[in-house]
Amino acid sequence: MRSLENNSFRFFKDSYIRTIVITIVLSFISLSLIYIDSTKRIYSDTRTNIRDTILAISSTVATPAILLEEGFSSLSEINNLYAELDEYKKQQALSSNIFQELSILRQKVEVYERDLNIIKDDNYASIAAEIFTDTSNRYFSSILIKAGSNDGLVEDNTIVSSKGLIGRISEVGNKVSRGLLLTDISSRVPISISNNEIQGILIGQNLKKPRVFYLKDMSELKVGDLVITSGKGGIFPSNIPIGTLASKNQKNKYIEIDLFERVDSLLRVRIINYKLKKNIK
Amino acid sequence: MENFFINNYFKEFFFHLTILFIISISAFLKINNYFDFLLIASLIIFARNKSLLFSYYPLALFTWGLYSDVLIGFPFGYSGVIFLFFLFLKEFAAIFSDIENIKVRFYIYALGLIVLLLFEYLAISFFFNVSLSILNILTKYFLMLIIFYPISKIFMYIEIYNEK
Repeated sequence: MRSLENNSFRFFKDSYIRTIVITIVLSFISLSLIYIDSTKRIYSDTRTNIRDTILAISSTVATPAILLEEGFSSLSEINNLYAELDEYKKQQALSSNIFQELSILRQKVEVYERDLNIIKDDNYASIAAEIFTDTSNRYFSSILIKAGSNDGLVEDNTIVSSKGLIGRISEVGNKVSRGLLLTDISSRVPISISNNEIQGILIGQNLKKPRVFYLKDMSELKVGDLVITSGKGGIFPSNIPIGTLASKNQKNKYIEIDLFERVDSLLRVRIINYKLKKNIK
Repeated sequence: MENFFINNYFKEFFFHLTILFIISISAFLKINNYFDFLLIASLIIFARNKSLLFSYYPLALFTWGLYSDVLIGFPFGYSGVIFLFFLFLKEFAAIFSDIENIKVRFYIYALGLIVLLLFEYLAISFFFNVSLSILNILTKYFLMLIIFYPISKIFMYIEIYNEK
């Protein structure tokens, strides 16, 4: 075993000091990069250009682990198959009734919109794309999607599923793009709580339940209220369902939202190319 | 062939392959909700005794950091600063103890995790104006302390006993 004196002697050897100095210098460079990247986002082109290559390398290296995980999840799915089949049969019986109600409601809405001469902003193109992988970690929540600029995607396109809003496109590559999820700490979505049209900003906390802040009045809100996009800011279309009100925190003036969609169970998403119509009839 | 596997060059190659594998699976496996693979890679960097790359070793870790940032979507430099922090901590720990003295290294590592946790928490509160659930993060850090001993033992075996 080496003694303390011996280690102290090592401390003064050139290579040791050189390593320490290089480590400290590179740490400062890294911290500067973080600061520049989080304030100006000047590296987005560099990042997207090299990401496709890095993804190809990493997916090859991780193949044994991916296969192992898929094997375990297949076993788990087989185990749950009968329970899911029962649930599916119940939902199928319900869905025909819901579909009829929706058709009637849609007809009514169209009549009202025509009578009020409301500007419709739901004429937007969309594509379906597979989720490549979920890259969420302890602070950031994002997914990689198998679609890019070759498919017409641009930054800030809206990502939805059959149940509701998921997030928006934050980086676009040629073939793969990154989707920023609602749970990400940098995600900000203007929302409206449907029954009362109370508006606020949905902010991700990297938890299952994001929070809504900047609410003017919380007294009329109750658990179970529907939360939808308000359309303010022009990034997200209005009236896309997000979730329901899960709990209220009167002291800190925020509410928690139960999201309609869990990304870890999804295979595909729909990406909307949303543009506000500016011509008024 | 037998010599090749205990060869230092093979050990160097094996180390970088392990780091690449850990970074890669962090992007593709769902269990990353429970385990933080970035911290696992950092633990391996801390547990490792020496590198053949000498002064270029920090540069190699900085490059792996950029690789991880592009793959996972962290801000540029984020993974690099964590890797380099644990390399610095390892060199710092070498002043007080050698690789076989796991107990002292464990305390230094735990101290490093606390510093990292505080630094990250404050940085995120400052940049994103979000107060994170400290319990959620602490669980992942606690898991790292649990796997510290097995990982240290493995690297002690690879790096010391193979040389004897």
